[in-house]
Amino acid sequence: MANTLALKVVYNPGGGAVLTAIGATDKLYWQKTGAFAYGTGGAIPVNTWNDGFHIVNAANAELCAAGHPPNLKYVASGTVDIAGGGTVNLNTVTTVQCLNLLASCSPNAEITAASFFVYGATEADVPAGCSIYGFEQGDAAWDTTIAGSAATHDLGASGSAATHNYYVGLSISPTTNGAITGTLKFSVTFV
Amino acid sequence: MSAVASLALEGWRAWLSDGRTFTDADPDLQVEQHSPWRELEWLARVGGLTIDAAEVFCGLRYVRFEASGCRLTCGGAMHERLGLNGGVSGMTSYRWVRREEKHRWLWGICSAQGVWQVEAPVGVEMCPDPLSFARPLALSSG
Repeated sequence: MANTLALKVVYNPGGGAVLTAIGATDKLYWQKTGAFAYGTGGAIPVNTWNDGFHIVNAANAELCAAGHPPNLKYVASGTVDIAGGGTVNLNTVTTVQCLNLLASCSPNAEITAASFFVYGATEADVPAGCSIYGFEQGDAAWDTTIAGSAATHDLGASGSAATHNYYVGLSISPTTNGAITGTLKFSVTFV
Repeated sequence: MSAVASLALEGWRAWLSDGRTFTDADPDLQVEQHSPWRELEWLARVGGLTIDAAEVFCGLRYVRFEASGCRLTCGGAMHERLGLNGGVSGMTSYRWVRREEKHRWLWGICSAQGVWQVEAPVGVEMCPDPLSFARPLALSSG
């Protein structure tokens, strides 16, 4: 009778690219183009968008050295650059290129509401010093208002089942120099 | 209440107007992929009955609502937080019972950490997150 939420993404932790859980102390790390570099060496230039996406552990060591999760870079409202492959329509992004939120319900449950957003100091606040856009796989346009609890992205309802999968993507652009802090929150309500 | 349900650490229990009691683990409500609560609602509807009371429980904590002429619904909620640059991460899980009154939805929410009662607008399906208003969240560090 346990219910769980797990956030996963496809990368190669060593041994092949697989859908891998993001651990409780792991972090999502977006950086500028080039090899992995944590901190100032990988800092995204102000007013440009992420050109690299990595999973790092609590010590900021790269967990995806053998193969990174796909970088999803905002280009324009309806377009995206996937892992540096050039501009394509946003709705061509596949599930395996997205962050996967898996809700497991026992007993079976119907999802009546699901959403995600990013926040700063409190849930009501937007993260300082950056723009963050997001989408759900299949969307035709980026949601430019996913920051702060008043601007959640609705992931909709789904019928009764033991598992429910959601697939989302994020892109980030600093508006000032310095480290950016924020928290990504997913919420699921079920009956 | 079935023997299986009595061992459950969390879930819901509901009372029908004919005196019967069901839990989310009751075998009568495990039908195909259906939600047990939706199955209970169906049983009540076809039997001309009402759900008169319901409670959710997490360990020794519980919240019980009487219907008082309103619709009751039981369910759960989960919230996953991930610090983008470290800091706050982890999942919180709640059980809730909701009384759908004419001008408000009253939510009774419980977890292993506490019990809350929250008024929310009619029609908003997302369960209020007690952690959102119980205390400010910690910041992740840069």
